[in-house]
Parts: sequence; structure tokens; C-alpha cells
Amino acid sequence: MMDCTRLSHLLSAFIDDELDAEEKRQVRQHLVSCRQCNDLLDQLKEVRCLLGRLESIKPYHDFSALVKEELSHSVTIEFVPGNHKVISRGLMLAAAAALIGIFSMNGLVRNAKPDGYAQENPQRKVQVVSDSPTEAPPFTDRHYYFPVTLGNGSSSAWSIKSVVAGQNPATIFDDTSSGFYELNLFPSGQYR
Amino acid sequence: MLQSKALSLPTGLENGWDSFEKLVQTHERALYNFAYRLTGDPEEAKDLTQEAFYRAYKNYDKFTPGTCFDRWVYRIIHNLYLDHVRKNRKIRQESLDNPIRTSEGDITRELADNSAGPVEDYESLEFQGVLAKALKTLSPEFRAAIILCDVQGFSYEEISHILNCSIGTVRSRIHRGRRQLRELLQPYLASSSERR
Repeated sequence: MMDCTRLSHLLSAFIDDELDAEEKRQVRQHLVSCRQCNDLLDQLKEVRCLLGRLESIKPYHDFSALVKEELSHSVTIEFVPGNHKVISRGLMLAAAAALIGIFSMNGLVRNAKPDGYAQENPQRKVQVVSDSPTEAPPFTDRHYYFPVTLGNGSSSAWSIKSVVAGQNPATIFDDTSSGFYELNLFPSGQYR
Repeated sequence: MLQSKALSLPTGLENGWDSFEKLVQTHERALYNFAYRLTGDPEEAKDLTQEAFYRAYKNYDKFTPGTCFDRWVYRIIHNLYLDHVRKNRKIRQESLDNPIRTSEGDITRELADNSAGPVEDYESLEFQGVLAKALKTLSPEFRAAIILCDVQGFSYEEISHILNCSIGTVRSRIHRGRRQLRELLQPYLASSSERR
């Protein structure tokens, strides 16, 4: 005979018909003689029934249009072997990748001034996009830095050839003397 | 000049954007409702749903063919929401006294109205607000399981795939969630008032 404590944990699954045959048999047997568990069963059934009454909300958004719009702001950065060396822990991976690496990122690019958004919002900085240009960036934020320094022009060195946001060249801070490319990608929602 | 890669074809999406758009249109209402019941806020739900679809498109090559697209996006929504909650520890555990935002306006009614009896009009804005408010008081994990089971009608096995946990965990979350809701909704339960 099952006790109430153990049985009560099975009641919701019993209501949902998610118990195996033996469990169902035990629950039924217990319910024959236990008023307390019968009361609980009735109330749990009612809670389930009430939740089923929650209305389905029609979204007033065209999500495919919203996603398409967001995708149109995608940024493509092309890396080429060159006179600059990308400083990153994954340089070896980068060098081992294709001769030209295309690295896509997504977000809104605006006002990418050397000391604009980054200084105003230091907490949003994400240091180093990735360990190699061919890896995807983290999705957690959309504000990226590309540390770059002058190299010796060896074949394994990389530089950023161009940046395109949608159909337009993105504003990018290209100050090789200070060793940074900086690209500000503004998150436009709290889940981005 | 380089062209944007924005609408290039993700691996596995054979007909490109058109196919994806059809998937979005087929499932957007159910997925938005999941997000809405999770967050309790229409704007937040819109943001969450949009981001989930966006990631689904960008990561379509990770989608397992032969499985359900909507289940995959449910999972993305759930993971995004939990990440968001964890990152914002200060995020309010909804107080019963706070108004709850709905697409039709704020609901300010107290949840436990002892004068309330069995519900006569389930579609009333007032009662819908009471339900939404009660749901929002649950922990995110319990809330997700309850929504998927009682609102969206998934089986425990489907929920375990979406929430990436065992069926035993699903069973426990649903039961504990319902028990909490039973306390919160006590005044509205017919089986309770019969005994008053």
C-alpha cells in the first residue's frame, strides 16, 4: 500500500496519463481509501483545466520580416594575409585556415568612433572577437574588438581587408598605430 | 565590393529563405505564446521570439533533420530565457502585489481574493490576469514545464527533449508547479469552495 507522501508525487503524472501500468494500479488502489489524496487529485485536475483556459495571444509582429531585417544588418569581415598580424591566441588556427577567411557577424553598426560607445559603455566591451577569424563570435554581446598590430608581412599574418554591413561599408576604427580595429555592434534587445 | 552574407543559405535549408519563412509563419504564434507566458511581458516575448528565430536561421546546420523544427526553437527560447534570468539575478521574482503587463493593459487585481468563487467567465480579462500572474510567481524551470504541458499540450517526453532534462525531472517540475498554483488559485477552485 502506498503512503500519501509517495502517492501525491504521482498524482499529476496520473492525471496526465504519464504513469506506467503498475504505478497507475497503485495510485488507483490508494485513491479508493484516501479522501485527502482524492481532494488533492480534484484540485490538481482543476488547476490543469484552468491553465488550459489561458488564451492564445496573437502576436502583432511579422517575425519573418523582423528576422530578415536583422539579417540585412549583418556584417561581413574579410580577412586577408597581409602586413598586419592579428593578435589572438588562435593565430595558429587562423593561419591554418583558408587563405582568405570570411567572418560574418550580426548586429547594428553605427557611430563606430574610436572612443564613442566604448568609453560610454565600458561594461559592454567584449575583448577579442574570437580566437581566429574563422570562428563564430560569441552571441552574448555585439560589441567587438579586433586587436591588430603591425607585422613583418609574413605569409601567416592577417589583416582586415574590408568590412561590410548590409550593403554598406561599416564604419571601422582603423588605427594601426595604436594597434586596434574597433567595431561597435549595438545590441538592440535584451536577448541579444 | 564585398556583398553581405546576410541572406546566404544556411546548410540544410534547401529552399533558403522561403522555406525558413514558412516555418516561422507556421510556428510563430505558438512560440510567441510560450515566450509570452515565460516572460509575462509582450515586448519581452517579442524580443525573445525574434532572437530565437534569428539564431535558428543562423544555426540551421545544427538542426537535426527529421526532428521537429518547433521543438528546436522552443528549446532555443527556453535556453535564452534561462540565460537571461541567470545574467540578471536582480530580475524580479514577480510580487503578487505588482501589476502584470498584458497585451490588453496592466492587471492590478490582487491574486488571492477570498471572496472569489468558482470562475464563471474564463475569458474575462480579470481571470486571465489572475492566471498569468499566478504562473509568473513560479520559478522559471517550473513555469516552463507547466506552460509546455498545460498550456501547449506537450507530452512529458516532448517536454524532456525541449527542456533537456529527464522525464523524472519533468514529472517533478510539473507536479510541484501545479501544487504551488493550487495554493495561489485556491479561492477560484470549485472543488475547494464546495468544501467551504
